[in-house]
Amino acid sequence: MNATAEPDYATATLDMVLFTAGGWRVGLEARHVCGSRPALSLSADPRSTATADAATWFGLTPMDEMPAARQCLTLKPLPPDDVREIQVAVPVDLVSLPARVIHALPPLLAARTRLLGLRALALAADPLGTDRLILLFDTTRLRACPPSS
Amino acid sequence: MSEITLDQVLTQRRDASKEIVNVDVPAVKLVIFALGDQWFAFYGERIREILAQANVFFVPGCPASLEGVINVRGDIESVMRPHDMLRLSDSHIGRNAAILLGRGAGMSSGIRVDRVIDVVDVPQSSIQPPPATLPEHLRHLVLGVLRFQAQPVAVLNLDQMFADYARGLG
Repeated sequence: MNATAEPDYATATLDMVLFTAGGWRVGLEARHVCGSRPALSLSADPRSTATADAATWFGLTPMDEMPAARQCLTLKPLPPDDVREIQVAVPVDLVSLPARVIHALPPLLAARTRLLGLRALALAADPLGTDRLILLFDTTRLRACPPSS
Repeated sequence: MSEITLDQVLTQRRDASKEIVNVDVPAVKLVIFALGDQWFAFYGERIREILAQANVFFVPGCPASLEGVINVRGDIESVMRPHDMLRLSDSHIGRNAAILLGRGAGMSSGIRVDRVIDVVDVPQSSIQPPPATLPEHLRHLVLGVLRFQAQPVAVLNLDQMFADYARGLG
C-alpha cells in the first residue's frame, strides 16, 4: 500500500488566476475558476447569476480608474446551482506561484482586516525584480455574502 | 629608599579587594524608544530584532494603525503603530524611525517607533510600580516606570498591547 507522499513545499507551486481588482493585484486558486470570457459577451452557462464587480465583492476600494478592458471569470459552482461570475480588470493570468512566496495573514492583520475573503498574501517579483504584493482571496468565504451587480 | 616593600603593597591590595562585597544585582534588558516626545520601553526578551529600515507594503482593508506588512528574510510580519492605542498624536515617520519586531500574547508583529533611544541593562530595582496618577487608558498597559537620562520611561506590556490590538483596540 503506497502512502500519499507529502509535497515538498520548498519546490511546490500553486496554480493561481491573477487579475486586477480595484487597482490591486488579486489571486484566486485556479481550481475555483472554471471559465473566462470578455466582459461584453454573454455567459454560456444558463445558470449564471448577474455578474458582479470583483473589487466591490472583495471589499476593495477602487484606487484608480478602471481600465477599459475587463474579463468575466466564472467561479466553480458551490453548491452546484450557484454559478457566480465576477468582473475583473485585465491582465488575467494563469500562473504557478511558488508555495514559498505565499504567506498566511499575520495574526494582527488577520484579526483587524475587514476584507472577509482575504486568505493569504504573496510577495512575488515583477519583471523588474521588485517585490509586489498579491492579495489572495478565498471566494468560498464570500459565498455567504451575495455579490451585488 | 622607599618606606614600604613590594610585599606590603601587594598585601594591601589583596586586603582591599576582600572588602569589596560582590552583590549580584538582578538586571533586566530594556529596549527604550520614543513615540513623539514620550519615552517608553519593552523588556528586551520581547523584542527579537530592531529594523532601521524596511519596505512596508500597504494592505487594503485594515485600520490606519496597521501600517502594512514587511518581508523579514522571507517571512511576512505586520507593522502596527501604537500611537492610537496610547493616545499619542501620530507623528510623521521621520528618518530615525524604526520597527521593533516584538513577540507577545502568542503573536509577533512589527511595532513602529519614532526613534530607538537605547538598549540597556538596568537594575530591576530601578523600575518602580506604575503611579496611581497614570491616565486610565495606560494603566493596564504599563508594567512599571523608571528614569533614564533624566527622562521618565514607561515600560509597556507587549502581551496586553497585542491582545488588545487583536481585539480591536487602537
